[in-house]
Amino acid sequence: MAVCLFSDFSDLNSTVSPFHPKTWPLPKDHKVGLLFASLLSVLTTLIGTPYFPKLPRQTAAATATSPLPLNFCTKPNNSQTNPPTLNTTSRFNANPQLLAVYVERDHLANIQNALCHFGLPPLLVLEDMPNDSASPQLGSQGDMDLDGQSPQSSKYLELTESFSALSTSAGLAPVTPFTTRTGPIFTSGPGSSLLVSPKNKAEKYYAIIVGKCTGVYWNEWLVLLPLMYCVANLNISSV
Amino acid sequence: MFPLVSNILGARYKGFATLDAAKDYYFAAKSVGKVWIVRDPGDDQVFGPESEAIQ
Repeated sequence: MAVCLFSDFSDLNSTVSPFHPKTWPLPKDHKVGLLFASLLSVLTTLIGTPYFPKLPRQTAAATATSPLPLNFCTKPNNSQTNPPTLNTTSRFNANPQLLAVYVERDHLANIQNALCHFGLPPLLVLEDMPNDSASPQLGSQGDMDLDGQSPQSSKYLELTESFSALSTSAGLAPVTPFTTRTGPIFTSGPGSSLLVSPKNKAEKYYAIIVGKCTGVYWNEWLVLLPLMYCVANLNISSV
Repeated sequence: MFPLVSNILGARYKGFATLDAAKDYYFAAKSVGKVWIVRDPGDDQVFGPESEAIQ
């Protein structure tokens, strides 16, 4: 509520309004004038008539450019130039770090989706790791790698040292070499562990006692596994 | 081998690492009378005649 004090009503007489003195004579008494001015200010505030000089109202443009109300999301920062961003995003953008991660091909899509879900940059797939048996072996003369540089050259050693320092510079645990990963890697999914387990790989012969045909059959468990899906009261045993 | 035991009520089979073990188990079960075939109409055209279904 705005309360205005006037010592003279000359300003009021100069404007045209429903409260014009010609249609609404003003009292001459000063005290009554103050009371009447207060009443007018209240009515003006309620009705909105531009009788008194108003405070500047917010227009649409001013609302669009005005700052958002202070709440949890718009908590003001000390530096107004930098918009608020997630710590993870700013960390990865400001100080990118390369970390070598061994990811299975089957899990790559799930990991990419998870990273995308959390707003993290996707993984950069360097190359598929070849099998140990299929890995190229260096000959006696040595292959020419690194744009013609020999693996024993100084440039190759510098790059190797820089990458090793990069992996351990952030205080992280050193990346386990791929060659030290020994244990079998099983694929995910229902029944997949049963599919590739060494025990079932050893079972190459199956004696079918009850079925469409009976006898001893040789097959991989991969071929036999779908047979169990629609078989009721299936009894499986192995030696 | 897939259709041999699929959609069969009470289908039974057993895996072995060696062929001899599988043969011993199968013929032992056959001698006891636990080996039989389950056929539906039209299976002869798919799996062959019943006379050749049991080894």
